[in-house]
Amino acid sequence: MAEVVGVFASSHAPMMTAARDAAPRHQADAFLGALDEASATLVDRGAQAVVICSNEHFTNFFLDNFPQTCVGVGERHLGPVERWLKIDRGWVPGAPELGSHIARHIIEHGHEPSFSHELRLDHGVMTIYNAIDSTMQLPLVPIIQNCAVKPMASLRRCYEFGRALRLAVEAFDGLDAVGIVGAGGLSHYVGEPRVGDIDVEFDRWFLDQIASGDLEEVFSLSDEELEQAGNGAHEVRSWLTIAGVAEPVTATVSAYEPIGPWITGMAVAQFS
Amino acid sequence: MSAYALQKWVYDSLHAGQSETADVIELDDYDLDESERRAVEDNDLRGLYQLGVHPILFNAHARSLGFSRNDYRELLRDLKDAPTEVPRWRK
Repeated sequence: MAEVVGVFASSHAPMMTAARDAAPRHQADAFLGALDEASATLVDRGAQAVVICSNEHFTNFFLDNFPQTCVGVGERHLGPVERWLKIDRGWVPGAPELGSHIARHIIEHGHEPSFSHELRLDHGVMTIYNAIDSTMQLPLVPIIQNCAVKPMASLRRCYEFGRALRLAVEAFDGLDAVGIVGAGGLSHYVGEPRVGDIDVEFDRWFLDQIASGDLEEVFSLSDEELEQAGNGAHEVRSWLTIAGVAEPVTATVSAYEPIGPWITGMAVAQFS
Repeated sequence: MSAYALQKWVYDSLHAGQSETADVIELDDYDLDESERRAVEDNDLRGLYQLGVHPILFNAHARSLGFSRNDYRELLRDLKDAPTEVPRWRK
């Protein structure tokens, strides 16, 4: 059965690759250094595939059919869709057996994700995947989560999904070692009058909850309260998914930088 | 009226822009009312926001038209929502 060899959550922002130099150097170095360290941990432990849980940005889905969660079971995935991301566009190898197993196992254990054989990958996945493997050889199962269009899965449900995800991966006998990563948040505004604002208080509070391992306060947030940290704050659903993967939650926050030019509170946490 | 058709136009336009082989987007194929059509034809970003285009679509569309985030922040400045409550992390 597969062993989960690395679990971490990271913020993402398209500017982290498209406009790295726009950020103050010490901030970019702190965040990206922590991301590189988390990525290396996963690779050094022999991950043969990686599952990345990230957010839908209308890259794959429109309002005619918008899944809460979609598991990418394709043999390969094209990304990034953004030609300005400064990541070479190419075909990322999929892990179809792992992805199909995850979809099937999770359905058998109380969740109903959709699946796709043809997911396109945007900055949400590619900025983090590129940090893990810039050569684009590590097989990837992308899991795309609805963090933008109401109604959205509850924060608690995302944590529960993460728990089920870990069980699914550990029940897979086609690989020995798999990494599981969450990508999104933290506070930011997109397409809103407050674009550019970062809620440092929220970010620090959220990271304190993650580090404490007690997430009941987070689970009790309504959508309306959460989005006072920005409509992009809904992406913490990916972090909570990873917390569920790691249960019991023991996390070390290795970086937090509110990076104005990237319009996002940027953080990395490794889970043991 | 729902902004579905308007958002569909934005979504299809963005995806056509990303693809080298996509079909041409014809505005007449979308069931837009007069104000929506005018906002599209006039590249009226503020109007598109007020008509209810989803913020993620709005951001991508604005950027595709060459507007920076600072540009539309300024354009929408007076449309900020007033906070309805003090969130728990500020109490």
